[in-house]
Amino acid sequence: MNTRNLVIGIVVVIVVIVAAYFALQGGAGAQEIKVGALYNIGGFMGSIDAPAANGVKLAVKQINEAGGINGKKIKLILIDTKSDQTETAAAAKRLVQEGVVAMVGYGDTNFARIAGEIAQANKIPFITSGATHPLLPKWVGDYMFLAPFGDNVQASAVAEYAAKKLGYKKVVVWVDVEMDFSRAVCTYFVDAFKHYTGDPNSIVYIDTFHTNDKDFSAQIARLKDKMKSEKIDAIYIGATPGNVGLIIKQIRDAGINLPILGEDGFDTPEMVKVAGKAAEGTIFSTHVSLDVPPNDRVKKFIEDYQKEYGRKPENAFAALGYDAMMVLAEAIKKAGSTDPTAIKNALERIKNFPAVTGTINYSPQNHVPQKAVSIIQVKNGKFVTLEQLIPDYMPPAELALNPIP
Amino acid sequence: MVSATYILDLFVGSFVLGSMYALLAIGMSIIYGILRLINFAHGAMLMVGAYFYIMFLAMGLDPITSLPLSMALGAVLGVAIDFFAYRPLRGGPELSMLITSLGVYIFLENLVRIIATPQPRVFPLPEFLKGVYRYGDFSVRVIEIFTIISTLVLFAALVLFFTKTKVGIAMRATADDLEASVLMGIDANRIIMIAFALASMVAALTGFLWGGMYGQVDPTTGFMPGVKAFIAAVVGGIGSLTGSVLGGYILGYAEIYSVGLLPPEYSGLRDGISFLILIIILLIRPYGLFGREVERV
Repeated sequence: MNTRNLVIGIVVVIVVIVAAYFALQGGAGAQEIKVGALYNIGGFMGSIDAPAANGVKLAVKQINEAGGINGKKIKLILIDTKSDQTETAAAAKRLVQEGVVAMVGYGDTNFARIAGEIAQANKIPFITSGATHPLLPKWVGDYMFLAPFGDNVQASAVAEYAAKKLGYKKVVVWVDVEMDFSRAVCTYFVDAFKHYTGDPNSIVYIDTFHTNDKDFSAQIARLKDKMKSEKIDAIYIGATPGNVGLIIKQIRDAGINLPILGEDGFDTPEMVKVAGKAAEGTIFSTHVSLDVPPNDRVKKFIEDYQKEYGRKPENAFAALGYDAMMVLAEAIKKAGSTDPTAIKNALERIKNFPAVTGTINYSPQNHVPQKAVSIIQVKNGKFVTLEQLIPDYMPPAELALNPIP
Repeated sequence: MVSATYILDLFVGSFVLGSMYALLAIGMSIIYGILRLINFAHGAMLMVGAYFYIMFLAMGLDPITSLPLSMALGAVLGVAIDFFAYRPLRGGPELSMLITSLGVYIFLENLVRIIATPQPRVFPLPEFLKGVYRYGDFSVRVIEIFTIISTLVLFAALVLFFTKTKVGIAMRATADDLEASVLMGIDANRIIMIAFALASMVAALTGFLWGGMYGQVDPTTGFMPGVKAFIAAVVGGIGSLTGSVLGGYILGYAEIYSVGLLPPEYSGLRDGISFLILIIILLIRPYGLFGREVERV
């Protein structure tokens, strides 16, 4: 190696080191607050996680345009984990490496739990925008917060609506045995429906399926058979966005006209896209009514989202993503610091925070907000709000420790 | 307790699911027979076939032209995969081809993910297959009848092809003994090409049926059917046409009836039951129901 090459080599090395130094400085600059976001923009969760990620981005943009938090701008690091649970763990670890002060993300319990455990181990707050399992903070730890209500609330709301408003007495429940979320929400529904009807035999039977099943002909045949021997008023399905359209379509194709009830996994444009006319009449619970904005906060959110993305929010998860980021910003402001533990303590002091999807209250004992549930029905392919209600009866969260079936 | 319509509903469901497994298993069997290759990429051909059909529809063609075109394109893709992925390995250990086929599967799935996005796509069923026939309590969809009939017709056509045509007989000869058939003047590469074209064409048709039955496809759609078809082919005796079809039906029936007749809380065991059947049949008949013991030199 001659001298000239050596000199060039040394210069290159120095330039690289200096550039890397500035790049890292830029990233971890004192004037920026790094926040991580994890979403399944690709894959079967995409139809609810992509809007949620857009909600988060919109919130960050508005916060930064208003001058940031305590004079510092937010730098959002968003990773798409493509509905793959192994990518979730890797992405959460990467966010820890990047030095984020908090994380938001996910519309499903399985994913939120994996990422939350890693955040917890590193004492970084994790706010899930759409995972609704009320035991998540208990399982993961004190750094885990929910932006939405718990599954016991939404399941009880649908049970109350079905039993009291619609007068249903006998229902069938279909559980996805692979999804923590589905097993929990169905467990709460069974408990709440028995409570409202006062009849321990009001659940005719419980059937099971798997997340990736494509063929439901056997479950449908059983349903048809039971409908002949027993009076059945409706079917409650613990489906997720990837299979909800498929299930509804197959049930209707088989000529079954039974009313279908569901949870916030139904709140996806995919349901109407895949099931088409078959989706008509389906009733489900979700976090906010976007067709009839109940207040100016919701109206303004819809307008802002429309301005930013050129379309209305696809579902309530967009609003939840926005809320998760906004409540986090509020906590960082209150904490007056970017220390993750200080942020977590500030989150536990959040009181009456006016979120798009309702009012958020946290306390050291409770990381799951109580909010009103929107009951939605599909009419002419549109999601129409039937009612907004806070259920009378609250199934204990611990029921999901021994989930059905 | 168990009514006649219930059994009939289950029967139709299993017949349809079994038909689709059988179609895929036929393709796997044809390729295995000639190349001794367990082609894991075969499931991906189903998924790609469904996407081809959607693509042709999006180009403005009508369903009647789109279906044959997607089958033809599937056949071309199958031949291309053989040419680029398997042919360079020919003569090498069987294991390297097996692993390559897994690689091809992953390649195809991710390629579709990049081109068509990972979001599930609605599969538009042509109008004439949309109807439902009802007889009292019992109902059956036109696409279900179409699936069953096209499987049986295709099976019959393939049997005739393998017994009556020169190419078919040459293919069987090659499957029996590759070296001897080459010595008899059969162009082995041409036979292998035809095998891939045939198998991939059938897989593309299965993709159409699968999409039509269930209404949506995504890049991972081919995985489980591919695995099930492999089980079906092994149960029936891999390399045997009749065996593969029978294996497909056995699997379809086992899955649906296990869900239908066991108490509801055991519905989740359906895949476990398929694998259990595989193990039991292999314990009793290691070469499958119709398989012949292969002498190795």
